[in-house]
Amino acid sequence: MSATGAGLAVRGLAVSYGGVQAVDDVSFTVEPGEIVGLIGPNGAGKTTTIDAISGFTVSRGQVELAGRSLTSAPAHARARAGLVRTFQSVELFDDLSVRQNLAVAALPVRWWGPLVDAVAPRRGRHADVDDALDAVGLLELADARPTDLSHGQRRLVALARALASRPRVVLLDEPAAGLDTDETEALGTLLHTLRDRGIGVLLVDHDMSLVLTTCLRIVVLDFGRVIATGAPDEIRRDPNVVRAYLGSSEANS
Amino acid sequence: MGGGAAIALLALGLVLSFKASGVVNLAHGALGMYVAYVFFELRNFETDPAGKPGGDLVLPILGLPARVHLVDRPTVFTALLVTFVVAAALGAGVYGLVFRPLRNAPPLARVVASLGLFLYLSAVAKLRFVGETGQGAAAIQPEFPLPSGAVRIGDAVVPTSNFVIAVVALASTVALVCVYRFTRFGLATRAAAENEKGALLTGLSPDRLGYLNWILATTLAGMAVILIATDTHGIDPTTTSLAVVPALGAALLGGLSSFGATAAAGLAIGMSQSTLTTFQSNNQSWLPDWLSGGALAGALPVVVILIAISLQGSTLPTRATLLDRRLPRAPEPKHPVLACCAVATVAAVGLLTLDAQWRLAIIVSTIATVIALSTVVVTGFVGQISLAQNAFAGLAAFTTAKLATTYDIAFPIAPILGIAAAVVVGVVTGIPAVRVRGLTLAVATIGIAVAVENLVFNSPALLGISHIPRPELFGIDLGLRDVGDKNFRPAFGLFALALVTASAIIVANLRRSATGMRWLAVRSNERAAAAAGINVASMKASAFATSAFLAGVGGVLLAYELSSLSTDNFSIIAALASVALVYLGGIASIGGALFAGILATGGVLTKLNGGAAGGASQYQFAVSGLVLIIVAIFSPDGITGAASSAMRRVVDKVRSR
Amino acid sequence: MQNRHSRALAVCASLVVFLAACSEETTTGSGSDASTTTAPKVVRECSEVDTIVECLPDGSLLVDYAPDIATEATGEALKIGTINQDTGAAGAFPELTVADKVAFDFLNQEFGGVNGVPLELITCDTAFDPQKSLSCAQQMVDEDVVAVIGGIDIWGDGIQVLEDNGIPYIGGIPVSFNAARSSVSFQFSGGIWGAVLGEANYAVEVLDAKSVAIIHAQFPPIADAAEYGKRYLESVGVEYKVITVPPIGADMVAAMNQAAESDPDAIIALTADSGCVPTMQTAKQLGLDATLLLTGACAAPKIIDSAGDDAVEGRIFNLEAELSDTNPDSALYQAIAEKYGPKHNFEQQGAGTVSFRSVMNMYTILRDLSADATNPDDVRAAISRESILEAFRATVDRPSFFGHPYTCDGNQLVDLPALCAPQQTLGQLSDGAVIQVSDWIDVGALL
Repeated sequence: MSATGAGLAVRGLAVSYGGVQAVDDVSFTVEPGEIVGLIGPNGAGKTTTIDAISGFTVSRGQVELAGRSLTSAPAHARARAGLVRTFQSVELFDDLSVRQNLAVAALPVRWWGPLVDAVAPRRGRHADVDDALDAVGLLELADARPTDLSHGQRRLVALARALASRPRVVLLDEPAAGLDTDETEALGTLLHTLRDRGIGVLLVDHDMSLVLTTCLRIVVLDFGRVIATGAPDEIRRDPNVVRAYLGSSEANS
Repeated sequence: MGGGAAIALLALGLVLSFKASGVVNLAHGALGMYVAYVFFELRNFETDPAGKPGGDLVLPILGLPARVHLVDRPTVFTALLVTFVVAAALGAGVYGLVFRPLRNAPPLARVVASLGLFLYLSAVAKLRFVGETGQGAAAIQPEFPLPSGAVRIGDAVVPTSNFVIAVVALASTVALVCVYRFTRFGLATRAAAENEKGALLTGLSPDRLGYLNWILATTLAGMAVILIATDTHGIDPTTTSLAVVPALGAALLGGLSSFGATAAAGLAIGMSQSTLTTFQSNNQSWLPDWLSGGALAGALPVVVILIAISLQGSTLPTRATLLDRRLPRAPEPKHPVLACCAVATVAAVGLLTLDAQWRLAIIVSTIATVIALSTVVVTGFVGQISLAQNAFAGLAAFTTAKLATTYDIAFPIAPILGIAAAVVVGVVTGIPAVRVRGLTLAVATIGIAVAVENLVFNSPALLGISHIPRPELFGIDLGLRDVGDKNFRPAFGLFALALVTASAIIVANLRRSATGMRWLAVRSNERAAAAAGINVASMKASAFATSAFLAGVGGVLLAYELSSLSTDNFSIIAALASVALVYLGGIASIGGALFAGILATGGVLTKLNGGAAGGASQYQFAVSGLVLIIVAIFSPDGITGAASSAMRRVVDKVRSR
Repeated sequence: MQNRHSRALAVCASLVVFLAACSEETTTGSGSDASTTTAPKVVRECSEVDTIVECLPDGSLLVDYAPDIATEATGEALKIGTINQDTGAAGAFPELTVADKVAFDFLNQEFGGVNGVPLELITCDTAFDPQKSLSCAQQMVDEDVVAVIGGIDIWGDGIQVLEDNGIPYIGGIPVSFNAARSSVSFQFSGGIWGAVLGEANYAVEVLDAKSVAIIHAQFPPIADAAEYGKRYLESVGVEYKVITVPPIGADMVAAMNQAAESDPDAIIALTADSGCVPTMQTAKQLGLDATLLLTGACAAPKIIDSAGDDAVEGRIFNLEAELSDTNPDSALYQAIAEKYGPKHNFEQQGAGTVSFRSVMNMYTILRDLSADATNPDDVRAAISRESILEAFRATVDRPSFFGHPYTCDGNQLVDLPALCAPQQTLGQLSDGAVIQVSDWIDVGALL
C-alpha cells in the first residue's frame, strides 16, 4: 500500500489499560475514496482502536491525516481537521433538533463566535446540513427531536452528522447495528456517496455481508494485533483469520 | 489535630453514602447535626429531682407533635440507644424517600434535593431546639462523657478529648475498610454501586443494601457530630451543618472511594488549617496588607483541594460514565426581544408610577434576575453546576466600590473594571470544570466561593468601604438615593432595568445561536460534542465567563444600591438559595431567572405579601426545603417547565378537536 | 450560617443594662441565693401599689419628669419608629421591639406621654436582610416619624436613608459602621470598639500586662475594633498578637494555643456569642494562666450556666454600667417590666434593656424640647426631626438611663462620631456573681 499522504495513516498504534495491552502495534492506511473494513472477534480492540485514532483515549504511535500529524491533537481538533468518528451507542444531543444536531458539527468555529452570537445569533442554517440529511433520506425530519425518532433513524442522523462535518476520513463504529432492511439500504447508499465524494471510510461492523461486499480492503484484529490485511477474498481464506474467529466461536458454542 | 479528626469522621460517612447510592450528600452534616441534637436533648436534664427531667425525643416532622417524653433522666446508654434508632430511621427515610427515587436522575437534581434536605433539617432543628428567639444559642450544652484535661505536646496544649476523637476516627476507618473489603455486605455494596444486576447475584437486593448503608452513614454522621460538638463546646443548626464543606473536600481528595485516603485527607486539612492559623498570627511582615489574617488559613486548603481534584479528573468523561437522563428542558425563546421588552416595559411603568417602596422592590427583583440569569447560563445551558455565582457578584461589587472610593475612578469605568475582575475569576473557575463534573464540580465551586470570600471579602483593604460616589452618565444622575418619597429614584431603577434587559436579550440570543447549540451539546453529551468538533473546554470557559459577566452586572448594581457591602450579601448560603429558586422556576429557561428574581427576598413577591412587615420565618425555610425536594424528584423542569407543559397539553387538546 | 457572628456581635455590644439589672437576682447555677440582701426595697413597694408613679425610685432618671399622679395621654400621637431584626434565619431579637412597646405603654399610661401627647410606635422587621433594612427606613420616612429608636440592624443600610431624610436614629446596639458613624445616629453604648479599648486598658493598667493577645472573629466591624485595640496597645508599648478565627466552626483550641505561645498576661476574645462557651471552656481545659476578657454578651445567665462554674471563674466582661445594689433606674426598669411586660410576653432579662434605655433617653429629650408647650399643638410644633437632632448634638454629659452620661459632640471616640457614651466599666465573675472591678474607663481618651 502506498501512502499517498492524502488520507489517514496510522503507524504503530498502541493502547494499554493498566497492565493490559488492548491495542498493540497497529498500522494501516485509509486512502481517500477507500472503504476499509476493521474486523475481529469480540474484544479484539476494534472500538479501542477507533477511540485511539480519534483521540478519545490515550495512545502511543502516530496518526496522520493528509500528511498532517494529529498525534498530539485533542479529540475535537482531530474532528475539525477532518477525522470524524461515530459511536457504537448512538450519541445524539437530545436537547437539539435533528438539524441542530448537525449544525453544531457543520458550522465553522471562530473565536469571536460567542461575541457575535450575543448580538446577532447565527441560527444554524448551513448547506452542508441539508445536504447531509438528504444523503440519508431524512430531510423531512429535520426539525424533529431525537427522542421522536426510531433507533434506526437516530443511527442515520448520527451518520449524517459525520457527513455534515466535511470529513476527509470517517470512522464508523458498528453503523449497521439495529437497522431494518430499508435503513440498511440507506446506509449502503450513504457509503457509496462517501466513496464517490472521495471521503475515506474505516468501517467496523459485525455484519459480515456488509463488510465483505463494501470494503476494498479489510484489516483483521485479534487481541489488539493485526493478524491479517488484504482484499475480502484473501481474508475469507486466511487461516489465521479463520482460527481467530473459530477460536472465539468455539469458546462461544 | 482535633479539627482534622473531626473532618475525617464526617468525611467517612460522606464516602459511605456515596459508595452506596452514588450521591454526594450535601446534607450529611445537617443529618448528623439533627441526630446529635436529639441525643443532647434527651440528656438535657437537671440532676435535682425537682428540675427538668429531660428525656424528650424530638421529632423532625412538621405537623407531628414536636416532642415525645420517653423517660426521666436517661442514662448515656439509653440515650445512645434511642439516638441510634432515630439515626437509623432518618437514614432509611432519607434514602427511601429522597435519594432512591433520584437514582438515575442527573446530578443537578441530586444536588438540589440534598440542598432542600439541608434547608429543611436546619430549619426544623432551629424550630425544635432553638426556638424563635436567637438567644437559645446556649440552651443546649453538648455533653458526652469524654475525658477532660489536656496534654502538653511540645509547644502546644492539646485537650485529651481530641485524642479520643482521633482514635474513634482511626477505628472507624479501619472498621469500614475491613467491612468493605472482606464482608459479603461490603463487597455486595461495591458491586451494586457498579452494576445493579450483578449485585442481585450475591443474594442481597440493591435496595436493602442502600438502606443499610444509609443507616450506617447517618449513624456515623450523628456520632461524629456528637463528639465534635462536645469537643468544641458548641452546636448550632446552621454552623454545624456547614461543617460538611471541609468534609466534602476530604472526601473528594479520597476519590470518593478510599476510606483510608479520605481519613488521611481529613487529618491533613485539619492540620493545615491549624498550621496556617499559626503562620498568620505571627505578624509576618512580608504578607501584603490586603491579605487578612485568617485569609490564608481559610483559602489555602481550598486551593490545594481544587488542584488535587482537578488532577484526579479527566478532560473527557470516560466510556464508563453514565449518561444523564432527563435534563431540565431548555426551551428556545421564540421572540426574545419582544418578550424581554414587554416585561421590561411593565417594570418600567411600575418604576415610574408606584411609590418608593415598590420601586425598591422592583429594583431588588431586577438585580436578583440578572444574578439568576448567570445560573441559567452556566448550569442550565451548559450543565455545569456552579455555586460560585454570588462570589462573582461580590467580587465585582467590592472591586467597584474600592476603585470608586479609594482610587477615585469615575463611573462607568469603575463598574466596568469590576465586571472585568469578575469575568477573570469566572474563567479561572472554569478551569477545574474542564476536568471534573457533576457534584464534584459543585463542591469545587463552593471551594472557590470560600476562597474568594476569604481572600477578598475579608481583606483589611476592603474594611468599611462606604459612600460610593453617585453614578452619573452624560449628566444624568443615576444615583439611588433621594429625600422623602423620591427615594429609590426611577433613574437608577431604569438604568438597572436597561442593563438587565440587555443581558436577558443577550442570553436569549446566545441560546438561539450556534454558541447556545454547542453549550447544550456539551451539557447533553461531552464525548459526542468533542466528536462533533466542539472544543468542550473552551465552551465551558466561555460559559463561566458569560455567567461571571452576568453576575458581575448584578454585583455592580448592588454596590450602588447598598451603602455598605458585606460578605453576607454574597455568601454561599445566598448562592444556594438563588440556585434553588432558579431551579424551581426552570433552570434552563430565562423565565426561570425571572421567576427567581420575582421571588427573591425583598423583591416584588415580598412586597405583594405585605412588604417590609413580614419576614422569612423558620417555617418558610422548612417548607422551601420540602418544595425543593419534591420539585427535584418530580419536576426537574421546574415550575415554568411544568406550566408550559400544561399549556401545551391544553393547546393540543384544543387543536385536536 | 455566616450571619451567626453578626447576630451575636450585635448582642456582644449590649446586655450591659440587663446584666447589671439582674446581677443582684441572678447567680450562676440554680442554687445559691446571694441576692437576698440586695433586692431594692422599692420593688416590693411597687408591687403594693397600682401605678409606678407612686413608687418611683429616688434618683431615677425619670424622677424629674414624673407627674404627681399617673396620667394617661390621649389624642393624636407623635410617631416614633423602630427598625429591628425581629425575625431572621440567623437569629431573631424580637425582645428589643417588645421592650419599646412596654416602655411606650408605661409612658403613655402613667406619664401622660410627652406633655399630654401620646407616643405611637411604628415597628418594622428587617428580617436580617440589608434590602429590607432599606425598605424599613423608607417606611419610616413614608409614615412621617419624627425619630427612630435603634434596634439590632447588622447592615445598617437603612440608617443611610434616615440620614438622607434627617431622621434621628437613637440608641440600639451599634454594630454596623453606619450606626457608629452616621451624623444622625446617637448611641449610648460603645459597641465592640468600646469593649476592646476598655479591656485593653484594664489589662495594661490593672493587670500590668506586658503582652496581650486578641482573638477575634473574621468580620469587618470586629476586625475594625481589633485595629483600635492594636493602636492603643502600640501607643503604650505593650506587645500584642492578633489571631483571627473564622466565624464558622472556629477551632478555639488552635487559636488559644496560638495565643498562649506568646505567653500573654491577658487574652481578649471578641467572638460571636456562640463562641463564648467554647472560648471559656477551652481556656479552662488548656489550663491557661492568662486572664481572659470577653464581651458582656458572654455574661448572659444562660451562657454562664452552660459553661459551668469552673470555666467562668475569674473571667472579665465589659459592662458599660455601674453595678450597684440599689440602682434606681434598674429598679424602675424591673417594676415597669413586671407591670407592663406580661401583656407583651416580655422577657425581662435580655437585650430588650438596651432599647428600653434608648426610649427613656429619647423621652427626656422630648420632654425638655416641649417643656414650654401648653397644649398638644405646641408640643407637636416643638418636637421635630431637626429639633431632636439639635438637642442631641447639644448634649454634654447628659444623664443616661442606667448608663454613663453621654455627650453627642462627635468627639467621644475617634472616627466613630455616633458613639456618645463609649465609656466602659468591667466586671469579673467571682464565686458565682459578677462584681465590678473598674471605675469608668474613658476609652475616648486612650487614642
